[in-house]
Amino acid sequence: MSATNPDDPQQFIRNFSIIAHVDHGKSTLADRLLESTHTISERNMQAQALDTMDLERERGITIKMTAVRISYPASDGHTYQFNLIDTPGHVDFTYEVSRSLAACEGALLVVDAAQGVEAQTLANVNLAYQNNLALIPIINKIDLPAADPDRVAEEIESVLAIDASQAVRASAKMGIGITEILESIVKNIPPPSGNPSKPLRALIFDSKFDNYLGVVCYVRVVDGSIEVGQRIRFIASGKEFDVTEVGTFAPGRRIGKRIETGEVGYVAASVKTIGDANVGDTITDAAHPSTEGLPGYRKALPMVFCGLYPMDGAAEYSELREALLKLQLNDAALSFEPETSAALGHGFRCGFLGLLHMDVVQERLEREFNLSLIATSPSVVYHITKTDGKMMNVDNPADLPSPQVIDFMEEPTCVATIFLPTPYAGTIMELCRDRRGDMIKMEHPATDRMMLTYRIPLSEILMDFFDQLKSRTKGYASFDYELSDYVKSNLVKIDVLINGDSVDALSFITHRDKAQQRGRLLVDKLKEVVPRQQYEVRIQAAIGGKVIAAESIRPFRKNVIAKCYGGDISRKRKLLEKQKEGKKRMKAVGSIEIPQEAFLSVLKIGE
Amino acid sequence: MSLPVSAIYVHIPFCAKHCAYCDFNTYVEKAQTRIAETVEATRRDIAQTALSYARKAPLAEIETVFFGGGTPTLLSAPQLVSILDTIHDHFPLSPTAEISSEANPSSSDAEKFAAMKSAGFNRLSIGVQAMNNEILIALDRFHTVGEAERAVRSAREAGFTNLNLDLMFGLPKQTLSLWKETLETALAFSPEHLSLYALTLEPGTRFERLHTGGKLLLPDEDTELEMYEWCIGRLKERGFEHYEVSNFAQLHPTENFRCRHNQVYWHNESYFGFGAGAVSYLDGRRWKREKLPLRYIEKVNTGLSTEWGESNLEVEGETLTSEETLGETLMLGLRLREGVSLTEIGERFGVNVEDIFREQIARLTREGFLMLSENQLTLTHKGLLFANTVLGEFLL
Repeated sequence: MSATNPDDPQQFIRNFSIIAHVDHGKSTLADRLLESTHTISERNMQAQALDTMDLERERGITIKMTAVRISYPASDGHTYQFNLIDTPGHVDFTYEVSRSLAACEGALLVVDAAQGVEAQTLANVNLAYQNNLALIPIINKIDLPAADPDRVAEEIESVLAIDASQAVRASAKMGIGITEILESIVKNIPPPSGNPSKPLRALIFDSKFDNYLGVVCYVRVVDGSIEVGQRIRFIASGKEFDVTEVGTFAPGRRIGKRIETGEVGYVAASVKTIGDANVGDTITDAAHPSTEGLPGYRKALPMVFCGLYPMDGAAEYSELREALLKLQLNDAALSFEPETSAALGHGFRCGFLGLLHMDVVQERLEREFNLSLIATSPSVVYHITKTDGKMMNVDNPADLPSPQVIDFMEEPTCVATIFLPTPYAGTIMELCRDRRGDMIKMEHPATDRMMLTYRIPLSEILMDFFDQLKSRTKGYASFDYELSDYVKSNLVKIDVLINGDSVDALSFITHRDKAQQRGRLLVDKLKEVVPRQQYEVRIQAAIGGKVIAAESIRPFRKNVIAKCYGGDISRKRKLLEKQKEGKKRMKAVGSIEIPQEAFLSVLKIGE
Repeated sequence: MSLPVSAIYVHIPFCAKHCAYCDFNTYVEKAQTRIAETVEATRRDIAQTALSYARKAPLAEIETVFFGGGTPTLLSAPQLVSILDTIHDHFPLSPTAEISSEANPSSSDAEKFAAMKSAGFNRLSIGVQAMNNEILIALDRFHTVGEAERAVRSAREAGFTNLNLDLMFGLPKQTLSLWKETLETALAFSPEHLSLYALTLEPGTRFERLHTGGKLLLPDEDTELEMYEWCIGRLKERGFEHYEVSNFAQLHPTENFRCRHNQVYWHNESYFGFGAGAVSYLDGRRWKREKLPLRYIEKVNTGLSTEWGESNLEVEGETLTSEETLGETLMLGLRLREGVSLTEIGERFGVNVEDIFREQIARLTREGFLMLSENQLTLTHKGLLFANTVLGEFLL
C-alpha cells in the first residue's frame, strides 16, 4: 500500500469476495456485513440477501452472483467503499468463480470451526492464489458446541498453507467478530491500483438479462472509467454499443453517472444477447481502445450433454424451445440444438457446464415453464479417432460410429479431491477404484481426516458418484473436481432393446470392463420401473449385436372392474381417467409404455 | 336429452355387521329407533322429491325399483313395505315394473319374504357370496352356508320366481375347486340370475388394510382369471346368457331375466335415488344425498325445498359435460356383452361417434379388443378381460 498516491481515491476502495465450502456460513457472513454497515436494515433483510433466486435458497448454493457496494467508516477515520462480490459455490461454475475473484484484490476465506477444511475450501483457495488475492482466514461458527478453532487453524496451515495465526474467530450467526473482519478488510486487502488515465479496461465478471435494459454487465473497472453515453467495445466479441446506464447495487439498483478506476458496478448498453457480453470479456472505449484484453478470458464450454424431450411430444416442443431460449438469455453456458430420437421424437441436445448446472436447468424448465420432460442419460464429449485418421467429437452415444471404423477413443478425466473422516477411507477408495480412478495422493490434514486425490474419468462422476459418496460416508465427505486431460480408453456403446427395438435414448457409453455389470444393472433397474403391460416386455442390453443381459416382464392378463352400478359410476369414471392419466406420464416406445423415470435409470447403475 | 326417468333406487344404509371387503355407505345400528327414523325420513324424501320434480316435468311411469344397501332385509317387512307404498303413492308405478330388493341370508325368513312378495316385490337378490363357511368367516359375513340355503328356499316358498344370487371369486383361501363347488351349489338352487364378482380391494376396507400390511393372501392373477373364464363357460353350458361383465341371466323361452334396473345404469339413463347416501342421476347431473343417517334425518326434517333444483340433501355431485356423458355412455354400454349401437348413441348425442373415436376404434379393433359390426361396437373376449384399458380410451 506504500506505493499508492495519497490523492488517489482508489486507496479507499476494497474489492473482495467471500469464499467457503457450502454451508460454512458464507451467506450469513455477507448478511452480517451488510447489516452492521447499515447497507441494509435488519427489518428489510430477507435472510441471505445476496441469493436472489428461489432455487438458490432452496439448494443452499449460489448460482447467480451479485455485487454489493458497502460504505464503511473505518477506525482510521476514513470512509471506505467496499465492493463485495458474491461467487457461485459449485464446481460447475469454476470459471465464473475465477472471474469474480479476478475482479477482487482479496477474499475472506470462511472455514467452519467444527467441520474444518473441505474440498471446496481447497478448490477456492487455489483459485484465489491463481488470482493473487490477499486472503483473510475466518474461522466461523465458533459458537457451536462442536467448534474446535485450534484444530481448524492447524488444518488451514497444513492443508492450505495459510498463516492462521491472524485468523478471525467469528460467529456470523451471533455477530461475533464482525468489526474485526471489517477492519481486517481495510488493513489486509490492498486497494486497487489501476491507471485512471489509461484507456478503459473493465472486466465483466457476471451478466444478467433484463427485459428493459438488455444485458446488464457486472464489471470491475481496472483502468480508465466508464460513463453513460460512452461508446464501448467488447474486446473478445468485437461488438460495440453505447452505454445507456451505469450504476451500483447497494444492494438495490442505484443509477449513477460513471464508474471510476478500481470501482465495481453495472453497465447497460442495449446489448440484446448475452453471448455478446461474455463473462471474462473486457470492455474498452471504442474511440480510444486498449489493445490488450484482461487475461483469463475463455468461452464457457459445455462439458456434459443430454437430450431433453417433451413428455407431450409435438405439443410441448415449441414451448420447450421458447423456454430454452429464455434461459439462455441469462445463461451463456447453456447450449442446445434440435435433435431427433427414434424413441422420443423431437427434442434438444443440451450442453451444460456440469451435472449441477444440468439439474438446475431441468428443474427450472419444469418449475418455471411448467414443462414435463424426459432427460436422456448425460454424456461427456468423447474424442474419436477413426481408422482413416479423421477425428470427431461425440457427445451423444447415438452418434458413435460403428466400432469397425474407430481406431481409438479418448475420454475426459478429472482430478477429484475428497475430504473425509478416516474411518470411511476404505469404502471411498473402493468406490474410486470401482469408478476406474487412479490415486494421485493420500494425505492426513488432521489426525482423523483424510484427503484423497484421484484421477477419475468424468463419465464415472456423472453416474451417481456424488450420491454414493454421500451415502457411503453418511454425508461427511466433501468432494470437488477439476477437469483434466483426455486419455485413451477402451470404450463400448451399450444399446438397450425393448422387444427387439433399440431405444436410442437409453444407449450409453462405458468402459469395456464395466459393460457386462452395467448392462445387467440397467436391465434389472428397467425391470423394476417399467410396469407390467398387456404384452410381454423383453428388455435386453447389447453391445453391437451381442446381447449381454436380458430380462422380461410378464404381461398382465386382465384389467377389469367387476362391479359398476349407479352409485359408483362417477368414481369408476375417475378411476379410469386416472389410469389413463398415468399412461400419459409414460412414453410409448412402439406398443410399450415406458415411464419417465426409466430414462433416469442409466444414472443409477453406478453401484 | 330429457329422457323420461323410469327408475328408482332406494338405499338402506344399515347392516348387522361390516363385511371386510365392502365400502358401501352402511352403518351398524344396534337400536331400531334410528332405523325407524331413517325409514320415515326416506318416505318423506320420496314424497317431497316426487312433488317438486313434478312441478318441472310430468312424472313418467316407473319401470324399475331397486332396494339396495346396506342390508334392506335388516328392516322389518312393514318398514320395507311402507317405503314401497310411499313410492306407489307418489309415482306412477307401472303394473309390470321390476321391483327388486337385496336380501341377506341371515336376516331373511319366509314370513318377511312373503310379506314383501304380497306388497309387490317381485325379484330378490341374495348376497350369498360364498358357499364355504371358512371363506364366509374370512369375509366377515354373518351367515353360514346353511342360512344361505334356507334363504333361497324361503324365497321360493314365498313365491319369488326371479332370484339373483351374488357370488364372489378371487377370495382369500379360495381355490379354483372351491369356487367351482360354490357355483355348482348355487346352480342347484336354479337361480334365474347370477352376479359373479371378482374381489376388488376398495380403499378404506379391512381387506385393503390387511393387503397393504401383506396379511391377505389372495389367489394369483392366473388363478383369478381361470376362475372367471371357467364360470363364463360353465354358465353358458347351463343356459345362462353372459350379458354384462359380471352378470348372467338364465335364458327362458318367454321371459327375460336380465336385471332391468341395472340395465338403466349400463344404458346411462336417469334414475331417482332415495335414502341416506343414495345417488341420483337427473338432468345430466349425478349427485349424492347426505350419507350419515343422523344428518340425513335432520336435513329431511328441517324441511326439503319444494322447488326443483338445489337440494339441501346434496353432499357431493357433478354436472357432466356432454363429452363426459358420451364417454360414460360408452364406458357403461360396453360392459354389456351386446355392446353399444353407435347409431343410437349418435342420435342421442347428435354426433357421429365413429368420427370422434375413429383412432381408438381402429386401434383397439386391430389389437383384438373390440369388434365393430353393423355399427354395433362390442368387446371381444380379450377386450372383456382388459375392459378397463379399453373403456378408458373413450374417456376424453
